[in-house]
Amino acid sequence: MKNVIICLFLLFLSSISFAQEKVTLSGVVTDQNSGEKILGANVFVLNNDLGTVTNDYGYYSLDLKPGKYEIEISYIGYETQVVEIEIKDKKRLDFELRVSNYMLDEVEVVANSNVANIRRPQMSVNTMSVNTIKAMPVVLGEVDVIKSLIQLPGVSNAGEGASGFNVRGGAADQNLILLDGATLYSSSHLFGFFSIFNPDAIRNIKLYKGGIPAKYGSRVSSVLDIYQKDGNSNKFHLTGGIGVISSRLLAEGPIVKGKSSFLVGGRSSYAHLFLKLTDDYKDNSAYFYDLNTKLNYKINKMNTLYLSGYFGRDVFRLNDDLENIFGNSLVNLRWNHLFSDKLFSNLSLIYSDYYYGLELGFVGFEWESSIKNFNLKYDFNHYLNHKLTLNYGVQGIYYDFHPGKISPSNETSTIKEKEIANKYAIEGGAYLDIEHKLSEKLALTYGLRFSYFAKIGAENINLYTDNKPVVFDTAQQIYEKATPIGEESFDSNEVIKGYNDLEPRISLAYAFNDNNSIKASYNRMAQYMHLISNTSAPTPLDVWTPSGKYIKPQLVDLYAIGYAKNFLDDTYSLEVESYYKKLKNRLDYIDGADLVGNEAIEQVILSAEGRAYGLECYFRKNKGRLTGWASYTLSRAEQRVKPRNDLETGINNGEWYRANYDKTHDLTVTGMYRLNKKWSFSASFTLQSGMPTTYPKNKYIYGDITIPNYGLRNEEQLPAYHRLDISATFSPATHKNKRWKGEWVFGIYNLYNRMNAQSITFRQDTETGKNEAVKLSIFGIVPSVTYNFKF
Amino acid sequence: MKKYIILLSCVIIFFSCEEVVDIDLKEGKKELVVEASIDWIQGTNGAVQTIVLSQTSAYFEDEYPKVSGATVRVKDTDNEVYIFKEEDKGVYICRTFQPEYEKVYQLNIEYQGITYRSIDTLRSKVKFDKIIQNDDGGITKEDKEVEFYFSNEDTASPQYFLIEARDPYNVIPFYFLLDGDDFQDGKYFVVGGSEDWKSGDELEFKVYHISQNYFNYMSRLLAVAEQYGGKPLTTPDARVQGNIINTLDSKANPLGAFRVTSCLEKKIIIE
Repeated sequence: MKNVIICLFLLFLSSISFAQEKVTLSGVVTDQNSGEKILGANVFVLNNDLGTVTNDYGYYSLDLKPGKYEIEISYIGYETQVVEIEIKDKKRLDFELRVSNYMLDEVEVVANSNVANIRRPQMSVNTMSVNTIKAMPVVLGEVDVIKSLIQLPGVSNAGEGASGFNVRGGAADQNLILLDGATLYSSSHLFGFFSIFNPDAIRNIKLYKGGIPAKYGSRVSSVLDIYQKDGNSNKFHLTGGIGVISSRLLAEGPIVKGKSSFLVGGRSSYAHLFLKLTDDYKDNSAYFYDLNTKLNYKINKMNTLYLSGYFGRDVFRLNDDLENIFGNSLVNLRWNHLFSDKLFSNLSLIYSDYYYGLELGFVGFEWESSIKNFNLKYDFNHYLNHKLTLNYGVQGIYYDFHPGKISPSNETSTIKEKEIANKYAIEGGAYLDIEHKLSEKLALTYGLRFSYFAKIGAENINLYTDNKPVVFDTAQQIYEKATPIGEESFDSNEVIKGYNDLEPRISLAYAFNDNNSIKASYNRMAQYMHLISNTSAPTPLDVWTPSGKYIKPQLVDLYAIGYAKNFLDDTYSLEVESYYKKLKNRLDYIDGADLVGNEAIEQVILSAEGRAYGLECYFRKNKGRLTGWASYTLSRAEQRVKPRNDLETGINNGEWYRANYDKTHDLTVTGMYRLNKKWSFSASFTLQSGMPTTYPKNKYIYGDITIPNYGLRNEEQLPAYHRLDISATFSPATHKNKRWKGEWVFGIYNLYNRMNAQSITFRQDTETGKNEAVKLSIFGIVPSVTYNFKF
Repeated sequence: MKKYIILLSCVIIFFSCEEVVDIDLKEGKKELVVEASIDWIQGTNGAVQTIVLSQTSAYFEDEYPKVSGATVRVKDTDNEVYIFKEEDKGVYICRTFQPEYEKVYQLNIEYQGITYRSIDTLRSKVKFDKIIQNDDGGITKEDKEVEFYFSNEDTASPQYFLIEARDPYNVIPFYFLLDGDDFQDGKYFVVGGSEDWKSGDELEFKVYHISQNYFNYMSRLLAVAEQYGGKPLTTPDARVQGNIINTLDSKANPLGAFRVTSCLEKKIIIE
């Protein structure tokens, strides 16, 4: 590995020394209508095959010899623009792209030129425009970012009722979810039925399943980068929708034209209002809401400020018996500054937190936990020359964990007040990523991230014999909590345990021609935060815990190779990728582990290793009335806890077992058809292997109840999962002068009402005493209607 | 805490649907099951005690085959040995047991040439405090609800309790575990309610004062027993390792457990 890095460095130096006398063309690419910046737009010089893409803030910079050029600017869903320019000296040139609007006369305009990326080494990345997400049929008509991702190759989840998503065999807590660059700790409302992203407030999403740039750290599986809109800088607009579950309203517009704009969006469910009408349930409620805000202010061509915010909560209330509130909030202040036309910078100051509160009135119990973090990031894009772009930066995070406090909720309660000690940690990162075009055909991205993490005081840390917080009882053959032999006290800000890791990231693309390329990548990533969860998918109650004396950081090595092809004039594209992933230090739990409110979580944790491998095929039709894709994934994700010595058994007898979300075959076919200006249709079919499960080998009676006697973990499989969803969108004709545009979306989820198994559990009927197997299905057929409008 | 999570998962089930299905199961190899529960019910002399040996059977079979021909003994720290005689098939009874608080007991079973062993401690007496009944329980605020209060003077060492409740509507008991560490001053309580309960119904309530080792066993056992219905978010199911060991081969420990407890028993008439 060291040699590879040295070679790459020499390569890098050689490219710098040969740089010639050139001038810089730079600028931003925006949407003509809304003034929104366009991220990842292609800026291409037709005469000499040079090109670049805009960065996260729509900025591009290109090095050219003085002369005449034809510049082509293109992006998904926009009309391609070609401009002739003559450049003598450095030049700032901003572009405005027009939405390729199918509402215009022609129907057969390219709706989605989502072609496979041939020449860039970036692989394993899926971009989705909000329009695509909105066009897909969804349960109860609730447009859902996360559920759309699951349609992509290599992405799955632990079933319909499960929150989060799993990328290439990784767990849900291994995804870095960024909203405008700020980390979110949970992505679901209503325990996983809906995701927290208001589709109207989002501009686009990008999912890195591999080939993750060195810019991103602190999670080992994937990065989901979600960008909120800046707000229309030309005109005031209202957007909204009324659905079965929730309604949303979003306002955006200029504050000072061309200088600043704002966006405020809210969404709330209102099913609970109907509960209020019933006599029996009038004191109960279950709802969620979220609020998205963004302000931006362009000081001058060199400086722009952005302020984004998100606040979301889920609320459940059952009389005075139970009150459960949880959610994320975040604020992010960013400053874009151009040091020169070649050096773009962004400074971010982020605060985010996740709160969970539960009050059980009937037992006089109150539980509260939270995680807060302060994050400072400084990122640079340095456009050295037409062959080299450097991305580098530093990051520092301060974490404040409040893992939980139990207190009596009233004076008569004899519940003992118990507070798990607060935990603190710092995380630092520095990275350099080099985008290097070696030749017409070969492009490389190589980089290194250095990350540092330390758990810091004040905290008292338990000490154990042989440093083992979990002991094995050889007679009973069980793992048990060890009894601490003492305590070590750490003062405020004193380092309890520090870790640092070097994370190399390399990817390359070799293009045979304009339409064919092969790609390969290698990633190492470290994750210092762990979600304490013993269920197949995260629950809102789960607590994040930092690495420390007894919990080591998770480390992943990911290898991927791929082939990308566009054919028939980019009408179709095909991407095939294969990956292998090795994971170290994943947490697993001893049998009967109590995870909630546990003051010494290290006493129930064992360290697991993981491996995942798979093959992904992604075939798309990009143009015409009918667009869509078929994605197929063949994969395996497994985990193992080996015994620490000869006397122990490990978990599951030390054998590999399949992850709960492992699905051997996963096929999705999604199609969208535009009939005419008024009607469009979409359908989506999913076929998956059933999720792994454990069946009992036999049973016995103990204490007058029957106990299933389970064998090895996840050796059986639930029945295959399949369903078909359809939807139709009707946009009534509008008068030219009217600003109000509305559309009706009619959908049917699970059209043929397949009762898919979410789980099969074995239990004893309490009334008859008979044993039975019970299949739990989440959604049968669900029709829905939604009205969306724009003003 | 587990209960609260189950409560929350009920919200998820709001959308969902449960259905009893036929599943073909491959039966695994038969294993020995020991139910050795020495419970000294307060107000009795605790002389009659029963130990039951059985065998695993296919999951959907109604049979619970008993195991005959074992030698079953319990010995205390004063080397007093109590013989459990097989009075009925697989049912071993001792009629002269003399329980004593805070005493350590050892179980000894010989069966087919193998000796199985376990130990447990009889914990102190639990004091009954009061029962409060109300009828505004449950989601609808109309269910009968019973609050059961008890206490224990020993607050120094860790205290663990197993609650067993039986009502006329269910053929099997309902179990609940209490970790004394969650309560103050040795004062404990449980709350139970059901939409089925009506005035005049008789409930049977038992509080067992148990050892930590047995508490751990029961928490593993109840986690896989699935008394509370389906769960959309599965926790891993595994074989429940008991606290009885096979002295020849610990890889072949029997299922089940040995416990020696003091037990507070109360009949409750719903008001």
